[in-house]
Amino acid sequence: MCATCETCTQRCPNEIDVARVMDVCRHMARREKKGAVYAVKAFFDSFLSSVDLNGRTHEIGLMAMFMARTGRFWTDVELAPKMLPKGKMAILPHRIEGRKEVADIFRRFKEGAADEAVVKARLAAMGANVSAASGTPGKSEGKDKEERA
Amino acid sequence: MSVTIGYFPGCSGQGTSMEYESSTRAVCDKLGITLKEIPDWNCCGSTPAHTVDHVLSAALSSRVFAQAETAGITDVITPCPSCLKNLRNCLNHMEDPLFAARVEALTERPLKREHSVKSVLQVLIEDIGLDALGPHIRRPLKGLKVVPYYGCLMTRPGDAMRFDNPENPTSLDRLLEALGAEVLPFPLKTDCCGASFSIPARDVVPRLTGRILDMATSLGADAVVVACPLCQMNLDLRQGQVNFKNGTQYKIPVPYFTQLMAYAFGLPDTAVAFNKLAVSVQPALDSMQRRAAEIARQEREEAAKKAEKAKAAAEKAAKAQEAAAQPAGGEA
Repeated sequence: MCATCETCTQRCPNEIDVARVMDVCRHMARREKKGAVYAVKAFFDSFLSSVDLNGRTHEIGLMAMFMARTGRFWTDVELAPKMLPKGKMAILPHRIEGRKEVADIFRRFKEGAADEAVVKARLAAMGANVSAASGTPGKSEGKDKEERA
Repeated sequence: MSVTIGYFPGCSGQGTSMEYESSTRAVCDKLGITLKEIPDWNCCGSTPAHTVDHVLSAALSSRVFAQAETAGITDVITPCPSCLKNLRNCLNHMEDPLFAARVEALTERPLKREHSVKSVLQVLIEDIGLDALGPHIRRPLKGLKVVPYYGCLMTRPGDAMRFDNPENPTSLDRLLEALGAEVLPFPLKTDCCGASFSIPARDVVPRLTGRILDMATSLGADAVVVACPLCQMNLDLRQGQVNFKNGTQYKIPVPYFTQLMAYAFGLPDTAVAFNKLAVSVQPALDSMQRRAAEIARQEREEAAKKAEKAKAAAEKAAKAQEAAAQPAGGEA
């Protein structure tokens, strides 16, 4: 299990960003639905659902989602008496005004708006339009190459 | 000295690390740093976002920068190392045009990207300077034995964070020394505490955080001083869980460095907010006072001894002078 402490990236004698490789492995595992530790995925998903919903994290809300996903209803209940009286856990979420904008980011992401192929195709089309308008063929090709690099 | 700078408090500052937030604001105010909060900021996505997708993570940070732009903010500081890492990575990765286009496909808010991002600690060290702290210190931390704990992301990876030595940072050491504390060399200062695995993988944190508490206690430290809200939660709030799991009985307070600064500056208790910590800091302050009194007593004794020695030397000199004068008188 990797906590993204970045020690490997820092120390790699061949300057490989090992922590980033780990991240990409996680992305691939998600795509292929092969999460090794379900609770970790459930926790990260709950965290992001909370951001999707409120624009910021809401600890009690995300813990409730995590418990619902994993059935671990006893998680950290013993910490509540240490936090609630000190006002360190908000009962209600801090919702931001622009939460729809944040939710839109998640929605577009799920819809695949940021997929490399989609964005590349759009850029290429835009580049073609620009080069057609300015009468310089080959520009879009050059731009495409640069992006691929 | 007076500077105005954009401020990204981060979600934890609104709750779980409210004492970091209150002390940071008070200390910056005292040092003449005006913090201009980014309007209607959102969560940076923290670790969960970048483990799902780098573009998604950067898009969340990108909206924060877009909000900063609406308020005319270019330079941003944040107390939280995890926010810092995400904001930094967003700017770094967006230098690639394809990556930037993918981010903007999610946010639909193009960025000028003229921003710089630093941690509060970095600004205090690099821009304000430790010499500026001296005149504000009302209650020096003389006699307080501390270990500084930087955690993972404050300095690592070096290429992205560009602050201090990534393997053996000393900025927090120097800051605490400037406040008058005795800083013990701490070999685990950048080792991982287990981060957010405290919730989904509960065996990880007792092992990693346990090592840090074990080392700090065996060195005889009064407190572990931190700069990261997640490290602080694991070391402080979860100390009971760690003890239970490991069969230990550690009871070591874990204040934020800004809390110790606010205390040393003599700022109000509401800003210092020691009462928000799970493990009481009072025993540490008591042993600091005892040690300070002991140091003062030793200094007084030494001064008295020196004075006595000086007096004895003066008497001896006077006698010698007298003795030298008498035979001369006898001859005359």
